[in-house]
Amino acid sequence: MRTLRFLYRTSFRFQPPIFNHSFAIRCIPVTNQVQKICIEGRYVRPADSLNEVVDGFGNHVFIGHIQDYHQYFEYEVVGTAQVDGMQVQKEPLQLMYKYPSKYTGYTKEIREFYKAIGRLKGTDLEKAVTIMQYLHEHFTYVSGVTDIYTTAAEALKQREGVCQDYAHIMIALCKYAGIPARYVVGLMIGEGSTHAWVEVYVDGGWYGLDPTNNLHIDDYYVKIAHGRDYDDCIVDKGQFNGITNQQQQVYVRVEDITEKDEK
Amino acid sequence: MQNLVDHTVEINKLLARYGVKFGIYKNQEFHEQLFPFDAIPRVITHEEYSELEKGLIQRVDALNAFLKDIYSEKKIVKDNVVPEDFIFASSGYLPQCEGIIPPKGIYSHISGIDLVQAKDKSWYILEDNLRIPSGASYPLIARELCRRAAPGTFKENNVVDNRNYHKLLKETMDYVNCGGISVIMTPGRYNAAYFEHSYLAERSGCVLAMYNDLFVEKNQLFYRDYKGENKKVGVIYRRISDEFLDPMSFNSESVIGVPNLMDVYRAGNVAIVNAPGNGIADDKGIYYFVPKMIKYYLNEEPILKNAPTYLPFYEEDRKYVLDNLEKLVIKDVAEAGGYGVVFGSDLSKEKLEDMKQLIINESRRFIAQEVIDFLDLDIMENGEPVPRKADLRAFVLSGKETKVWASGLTRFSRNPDSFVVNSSQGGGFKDTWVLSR
Amino acid sequence: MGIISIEKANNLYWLGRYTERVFTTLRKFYRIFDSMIDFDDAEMVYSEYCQRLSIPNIYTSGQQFVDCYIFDPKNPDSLYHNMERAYDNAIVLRDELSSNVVSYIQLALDAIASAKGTAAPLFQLQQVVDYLFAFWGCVDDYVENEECRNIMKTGKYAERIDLYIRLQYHTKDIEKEFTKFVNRMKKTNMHCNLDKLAELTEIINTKKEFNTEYQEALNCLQGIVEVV
Repeated sequence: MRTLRFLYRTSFRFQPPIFNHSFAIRCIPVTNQVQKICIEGRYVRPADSLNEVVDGFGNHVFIGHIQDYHQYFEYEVVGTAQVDGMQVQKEPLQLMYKYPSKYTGYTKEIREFYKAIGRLKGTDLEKAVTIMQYLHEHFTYVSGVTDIYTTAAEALKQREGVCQDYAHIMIALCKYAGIPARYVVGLMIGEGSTHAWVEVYVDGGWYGLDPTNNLHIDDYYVKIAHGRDYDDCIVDKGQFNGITNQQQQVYVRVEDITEKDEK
Repeated sequence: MQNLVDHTVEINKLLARYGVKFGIYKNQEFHEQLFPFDAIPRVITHEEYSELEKGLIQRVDALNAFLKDIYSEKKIVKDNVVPEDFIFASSGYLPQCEGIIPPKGIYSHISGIDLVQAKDKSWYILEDNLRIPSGASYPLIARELCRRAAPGTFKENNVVDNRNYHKLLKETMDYVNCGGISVIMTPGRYNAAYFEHSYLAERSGCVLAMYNDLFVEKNQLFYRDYKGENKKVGVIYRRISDEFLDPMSFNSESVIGVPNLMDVYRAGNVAIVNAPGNGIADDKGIYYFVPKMIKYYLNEEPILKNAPTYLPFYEEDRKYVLDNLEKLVIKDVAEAGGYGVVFGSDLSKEKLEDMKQLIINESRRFIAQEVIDFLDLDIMENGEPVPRKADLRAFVLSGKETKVWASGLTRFSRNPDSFVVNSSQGGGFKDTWVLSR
Repeated sequence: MGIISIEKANNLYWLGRYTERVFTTLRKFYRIFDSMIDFDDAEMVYSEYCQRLSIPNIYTSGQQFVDCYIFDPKNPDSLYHNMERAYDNAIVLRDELSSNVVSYIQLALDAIASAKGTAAPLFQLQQVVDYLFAFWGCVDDYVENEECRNIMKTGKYAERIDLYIRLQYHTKDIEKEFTKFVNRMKKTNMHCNLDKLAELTEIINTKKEFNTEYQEALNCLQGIVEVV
C-alpha cells in the first residue's frame, strides 16, 4: 500500500480564438477496490456550464460549453491516491469486453502474431502475462510512428509504437485467446504525460498489466478511465467553431508520499 | 378505381409541385428525384388488417422488451435464447447506451416493419427497421391528392383515413417529452429523406432543426432562438444516425451532431426518438431470433411469420445453406437499403463457390432465406397494368399504447426482373388502403 | 411556432430578397426585350442594364442575352440561378411557411425551366410573375408567424429599393418602398444599424433622382440590416 500525490493538468491555447465550444473531459480518477482517491482541487475553465456525469463505461466525465470567444482552455486535478495494486478487482463481467472493437479486430496480423507466441499454459492470468512478455520483447517503443487512429493491426505491422499501441495489441491478443480485456488510461509515477495500459478479466475480476513496461499494475499507478479501446476513454474531446491553431500542453506529476511506517 | 388511375399524371404533377422528392447522390453530386407514384392502391382487407395489426403490435412490443433487456440485465443472453455473439460482436450494440433507461422505457417509438405477401396470401416479415425508418410522409401526402382526384372512389370503398400519421407521431413524442419543445432534427436538405423531415415537421407542428440550432448547457438540450431566447427541448425526433448524433460519445469526426446530447439523455432530461442503440434489434442476424423473443418476453406464439431463415452460425443451418445456396437469398447482416443482398440463383458456379467459402469463414456475417414467391402487384405502364414485385413498410408507433398506422408505404420495383424495391434503387410507391369493413 | 433560429432568420430574409430579385428584374426584362426590338444595337440596351446592376456583361448578342441571362443555370446572374437560390432558402423553411407556400417557389422555378427554348419565352415567363404574386399572397394567408412575414418582407423591400435605385425608378417610388421597408424592419428583432438607416433616410429625403451617385445610397442600404 502506498500513498501517491498526483497532479494532472492540460492547457490549450487557440490562436485565433474560438467560440461555441463543447467539451467532454475524463480526468478525475475514481475510488475503487484498488485505489482510494481524495481530490484536493480541480477545475475546468472557462466554462459557461459544467456538469459531472458518468458515461456508459462507468467513467467520470466533465461536460460543458463555452459560447463566447476564448483563447485559453485549461483543466487540472490534484489529489492523493491510496493504492493497493496487484490484486483482482472483483466485479461481474460486461460481455462486450470479450469481443473485438474498432481498434482491436482479429486481423491476419493479430492471428499470426498470436500463433508465434506458441501454446499458452497455466491460468488465464499466466497466459496474459506470457502474452505481455512476448509482446514487450517483439515490439519497440517509438513515438511519432503511430497516431491516435492507429489500430492494433496497423501498429503490429510496423512493430513500433507507443503505450496506446501496446495496449491495443495486447487487448486484441488476450481476447483472441479467450481472455476478456479492456483499455485503461491513467497516470504513472514520475513526471510526463498520461499513460495507457490493459486490464484482463481473470478470477471474476479485473487485473492490470502494463505491456509498455512489462509490469503488473502495482502501487505506482492511478487509473482514470477504462473502455473497450482508446476511443471509449479519450481524456479530452472538444468541438468548437473557428479556424484556429491549437497548442496543447499536458503536465502530469505523480510522487510517492507514503509515510515511512505506512510502508 | 379507374377514376383514380386516369388521374395518375395529375397526381404525380401535384406531388412534384409539393416537392415530394428524395435526394440521391450520383457521381458525388446531389440530385433531387421525384418518387414515382402508381395510382393502383394496395388494398388490405379488414380481416387481413386485424391480423396484421395484432402481429405487428406483438412484434414491436417484443422488440422493445428486448432492447430494454439488452441495455440492462441481458436476461435473454443469460438464458441462452440469443447467443451473446449476436449481441456483442454486432456493430448495432452501443455500450455507450449501457444503463440508460429512456423516458417511459420506450426504445423504438417509430418502427418500420417491412413485409411481403406471398402468392398464398400469407404475410412474411422481411426486416425490422427500428432506427430511423422513413417513408410515412409519402402515402400521407399522396392520399390527400388521391382523394381530390377521385372522391367517388373513396366514397364507394370503405378506406380508413390514413391522414393522421402526424397526429400519431406528435402523440408519441408528447408521451415521452421531458418538458420542453418538440424538435425534428434533420441532417439537412441534402439528406435523402429531407422532404419527409420537413413535411412531418410542418404537419406535426414540431420545430425542424439542424445541428447548429441545438446545443447542450447545464446538461439540458436547447434550441437557439435568433432573439437569444433559447428554448429547452423536451423531445427530439432525430433523423440522423447514432454514429453522428453526438461527437462526444460516438464518432468524434461528426460535425452534424449535438455535442454531449447523450449525457442529457442519460440524465433523463430529453427523450430521443428513436433511442440510440436500437441497431442491435434490427440487425439482420437478430431478425432470426425475433419469434423466439416473442415467446420469451410475451409468452405468446408469434402471429406473423418470419421468412424461413437460416443462420450459418449454427452448424445444422450452415450445412443446409451450403447444400442449397443456389435457391436461397443471402444477406449481409451489416448492410442496409437493399444492398448486400445476393440471390444464389444469380451466381455463376465460380461465384457460388466463393460465396460458400465466405459463409464458412465468416458465418456470423450472413443470413440465408428461402426465396418467397411474391404476390405481385399491378402497376400501370404505358396504359397497361403489369405485375411487379412490391413490399409493404408498416409503421408502428409506441407511446402510451402501441398503435399501427392504418396504411403504410408500398414500394414497388419498376424493373420486372428485380426483387429489390428500395427507393434509393429507383422504385416507385403506391397508396396502401386498409378497408374499414 | 414563435421560435426562429438564426439560420431560419437568414433563410427568411434571403428568400424575400431572391424572390423579389426575380420578380422585379423579370418585369424590367419585359421592357428590355421590347427595346431590343427597335434598337439596331441590342448590345447598347443590355450593356447599360448590366452596368446599372453591376453584373459582368458576358453577353454576345441580344438573343444570347435572352438565353443566358434568363435561363442559364451556370450564370450566377441569371434569373434561373436566382430563382434556385430562392428555392434553396424556401426548401429549408417548409415547417415555417407550409407546403402550400413553398409550392409556389417550386412552380416558379419549374416555369422558368419550361420556358427555355420556347418560341415566345415571354408568354411562358408570365407564369413566373403569376406564381410569385401567388407566393406573396399565400405568405400573407398561410404563414402564421408574423415575425416570419416581417423578416421576409424586410428582405423583399431591401431588394426592391436596391433594384429601384439601380434601375432609376422614380424617387417617389423609392420613398414609398423605403417606408414599407422601415416599417417591416422595426417589427423584427434583426440587428439594425441606426446610423446607416439615418444616413439613407437623409439621402432619400433630399435626393430628387438617382441617375448618378447612387452607389452611396446602395452602400447605406447594405449596411442597415445585419445578416450572415
